[in-house]
Order: sequence, then C-alpha cells, then structure tokens
Amino acid sequence: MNATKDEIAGWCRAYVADLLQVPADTIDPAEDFDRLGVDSALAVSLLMEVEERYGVDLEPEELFADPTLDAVADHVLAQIVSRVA
Amino acid sequence: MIPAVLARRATDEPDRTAYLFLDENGAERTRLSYGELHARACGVAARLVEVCGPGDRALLLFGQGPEFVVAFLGCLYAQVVAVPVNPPRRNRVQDATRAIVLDCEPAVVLTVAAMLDHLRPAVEPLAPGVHWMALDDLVPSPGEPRPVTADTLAFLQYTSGSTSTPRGVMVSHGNLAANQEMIRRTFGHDRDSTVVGWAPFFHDQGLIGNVLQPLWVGAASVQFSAMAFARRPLLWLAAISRYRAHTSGGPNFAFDACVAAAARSGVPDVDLSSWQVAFDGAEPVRPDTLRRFAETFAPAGFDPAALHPCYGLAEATLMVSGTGKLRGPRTTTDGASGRVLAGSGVPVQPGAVRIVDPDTRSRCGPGEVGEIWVAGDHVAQGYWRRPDATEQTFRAELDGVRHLRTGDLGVLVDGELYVVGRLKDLVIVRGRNHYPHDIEHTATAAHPALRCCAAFAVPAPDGERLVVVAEVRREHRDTLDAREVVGSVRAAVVAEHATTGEVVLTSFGRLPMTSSGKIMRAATRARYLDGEYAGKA
Repeated sequence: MNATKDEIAGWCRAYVADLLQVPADTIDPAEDFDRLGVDSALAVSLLMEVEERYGVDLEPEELFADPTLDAVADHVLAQIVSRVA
Repeated sequence: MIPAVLARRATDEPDRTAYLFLDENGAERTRLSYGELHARACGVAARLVEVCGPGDRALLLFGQGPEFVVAFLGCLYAQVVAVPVNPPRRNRVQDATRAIVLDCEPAVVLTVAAMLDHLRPAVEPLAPGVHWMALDDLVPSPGEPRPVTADTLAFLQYTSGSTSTPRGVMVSHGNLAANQEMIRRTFGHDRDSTVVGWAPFFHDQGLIGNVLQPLWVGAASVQFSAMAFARRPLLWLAAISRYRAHTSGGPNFAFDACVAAAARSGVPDVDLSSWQVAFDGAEPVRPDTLRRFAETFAPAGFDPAALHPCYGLAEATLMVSGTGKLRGPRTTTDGASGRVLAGSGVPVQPGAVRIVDPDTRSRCGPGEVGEIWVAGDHVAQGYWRRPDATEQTFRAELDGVRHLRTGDLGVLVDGELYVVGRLKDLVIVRGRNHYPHDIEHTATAAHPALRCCAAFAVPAPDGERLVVVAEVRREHRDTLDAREVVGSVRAAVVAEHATTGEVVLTSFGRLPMTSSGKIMRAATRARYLDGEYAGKA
C-alpha cells in the first residue's frame, strides 16, 4: 500500500473518533492518548486495526512510549518504508 | 487452609507444575513447581517475619507474573495481611493506590527491583518507615507456614480507592477455604482440571479464581497478561487448546472479543473439546454473547453446555452463584420488558441467596425482583477500619441470620439467579467496577474550571459505558477552553481509573443537586438521556 504519513494519521483519527463517538476534527493527532480519552483497551484495538490494515507489526511498548497518533503513523510508515527498501 | 495445602503439596509432589506463565506470544516463560513455590514463599516469609508481625499489612505491587504469586503466598505463610494493588501505569502511582496505602498502613511494600525506584518517592511519604523488599533479592529457603485459623485475616481486597472511601474487603482464611470448596464443587474440579487465565491478579477473579483455585485442587494454572489477551484474544483459545484446559473464563466482553477476532481472521485451528467450564462473570452476562460464542466456536469443538455464567463479588470472597459443570446456561424472558435474561447459575451454597425488598428488608415473594442478599461462610468479615460501612453492608439481619447486601437486584426462578440490575451506583466497563464517586472526584480535580461532576453508566451496544457530566464554575464561563478542560478530565480518568468515557461540559447550576449540595446522579443521568446536555456548555 502506498501510504503517506498524513493518510495513516488521518485514518487513525477517523478510527479513534469513531470509537470515542466524537467528530474526527476534535482529535488532535499530536495529543497524548490519555487526553484524547484513549485508554489501554482502545489503544490496543487501534493497534490491531492498524496492523491489519497496513500489514505491519507494532510493539505495544513502542505505542506507549510516545502515545500519540502522529507517533503511530511514524512507526507504521517506517515499517512500510523498510519493507519496500 | 491455603498455606497448609501448598506446604502439603510441596512435600508430596514437589516437582509437579503449579503455575505456568506465558509471554505475549503464548510461549512458556516461567514454570513454578509446588516445591519451588513453597521454598520461595518461605524465603519471602523469612524476611517478612524479621520486619513485621502477624496481622501487619504488606502492599503487593506487581505485574502479572510469578513474583505476585510467590509474594502473596509468602504473606500467607508469615501471617502478614497481603494487599494486592494495581501496579503503576506509565511509571506513575495512581491516587487510588495512595489512598489504599493511607488506609491500610502497610509495614512492608513487596515489589520487583525494576519498579522500586518509581514507587519509592510516591509511596514513602505516605508510609514513613515502611520496609521495601524486591522479590528479586530474596532467596528460597526451607521452612513452614505459621499456623492460621479460619478467623485469621488473609488479605484485603480493595474494591474502591477514592480518598474519602477506600473499601478494603477483609477476607479471612476461613472465607477463602469456604469459597474455594464452593468453586471446586460448582466447577467439578479435580487435580487434572487445568485452568487457563489472564485476569489481573489484583482483581478478585484473577486471584481467587485463576490463582488460588488451581492451587486448592492441585491442578496446573496457566497464566498470561490481560494486555496479551486484549491484543490477541485468540491467544486465549490457543492456550486452552494447547494445555487441554478444563476451566477458563472472563468477563462477558472477553467472549465478544473472541467472536470479533474470529470474524476478522477466521476461526483458529484449535481444539476446544477439553473446555468444560467457560465461566462468564464480573459483568452482566448477555444471552447474545453466549449464543454467538457457541455458534462461532462449535466447529473448533466447543461444547455449548460448557458456557458457565456466574455471579459474585469481592465481599463474598468471589463466587456467589454458578451454572454448574456442563449444565448449560439458562435464560428467561422478563415479563414486563420482554427482554431475554441470562441466568447466573444457582447459589454455590444451597439456601445462601435471598431476594429481599431493600426498603422493608423483608423477603420478596417467588418470582419477585429484589436486592440479592448473601449468607454463608464465604461472606467476608467487613471493610477494613470502616465500621459504619461494614454494619450497613455486611450485617443485614434476615430471619435471624446475618446477610451481605450486594446492592445488586435479582430474582430467583426455579432456583436460578437472574441479575437484573443494581441498586448501588456502579459503572462496569470491561469487567472492572468503577465507583461513580471515585470518578467524580478525579474528574472534578482535573481542572480548576470545574465545580462538580456526575458520573454514571448508560447502556451501550456491548454492555454499558461511562458518562461524566462536568459543571463549569460561573467565573470561568467566558474564558473557557472546552477542549482543554475535556482533555484534562479524560486524561485524569484514564490515568486514575484506566478507563474512558464521554465527557460533557455544562454550565453553572445545571447539575441537579440536593439542598445539602449532594449531586443527584440518577436525575443527571435522566437529563443526559433526554438530551438536555447536548450542545454547547
């Protein structure tokens, strides 16, 4: 899949917004998961969906070290790029 | 009693496997035999008796691993009262844990070396002079447990940790033994009944059901973390298949999670034919969940009669009612609403459950809904250092017998207990109980613009969800950054209670209160459901 960081972050925003039942534009991709109301159960389901959609394997530790959607998008992109290279 | 059971097994069959811990991928990480467990528990007990006496409290701060089991049993061996609590999240000790420390006044904190540096600065000011022990530093030793009686206090199970109302349920060795026997009979356990589990050990289902019941009957216990389950629900079924488990269960959401995972990636290649007790407890049991799970996993050899709804609470040690091995779940239709209800089984001690009118405190007629009251040897001693709450909850008289008031509403139909609702204010999300009072306290303290909050549960497609309505102070109404405030409330609730919910702001005076300034949760909830808080604050 030819994904850009914006596309990945945008998809994550829409997914989290849906889980939290809030409009996507209220979700700041640079904001900490806690402040978005993303608890560990939601974070894990985001992880599973992202892994499935982009065919990557993310470590939960990576996710929790910098828990923002921007960081998730960076991790996904890095894996996609390294796979292509 | 539990200590004698372990000591005997360590003598009779030291090499037999007691516990097996799996990693995030389901690979075997640590195996503990009865002999090793006994020696390591003796090692812990030997250190404990140097620094504290019988009845002193020990705070247990561990992740989901063998260290917790060793520490817990070490406490029982030393006749020290174990207090299991939630381990720190993101290296931060939760306020609930602080409140528990102040309430139980521990003499010792047991943890692992890796967590000690984060814990010390947070815990030490609350418990000056507390002794620290890292399990990694303790060596196994020969020894034997201090003798206990049925009345000896074994541990405190905290059900709430808010600053004003920590409630530590006092579970005695007699309570433990009684409930272990009830679980053994209900589940039909013997020494070959392998149990697989992933519920956290600081939670009653994890500790009493998954850790202590296998030890009680001499069966192997296979454990992995709740996080591993959340990430890969089908890992659970793979472990059941691989270890030929007899018993394994979780809250209702866990069964839904497996069905959802199988819908995504297919029914895994597993053999579930050994699974005879699939207990479903800790949150309301949903008939749809049971049906879908049975349909989805029948091709993998799952027997629908293994589905085993049950009901319990920490105040009754753990289990109050259970379906019975391979009896299969029961349902009934509520005459008034037409709703199909799943039964929670039959009382684990015959005659120990009564349905009572909560106002008149007299028994309800057959088929009438009332509060569930419980009597029996499994009913705990009370709440630690809270005589008033103990009197109210644990000392309700009926027919001259002392009963526990559960705060849950139910009905008995043909001997089967149906839990239909609750009297107490409680929000249950993913099998964890949250007290609205605790969440309101956290939410209100999260931002200076907030005056007060109401927290309550509303129905959701897969159970219930949390809503927090927060009232903004009059002087902040013109300068309010709503997003900032909502973010602060969410962050505080996630950090303290590890859960999430909808946060709604409302303007000054719009939270209904009593004349004495008490928030009226039920009225707030009704207004919320009527859409009165929709739109701008």
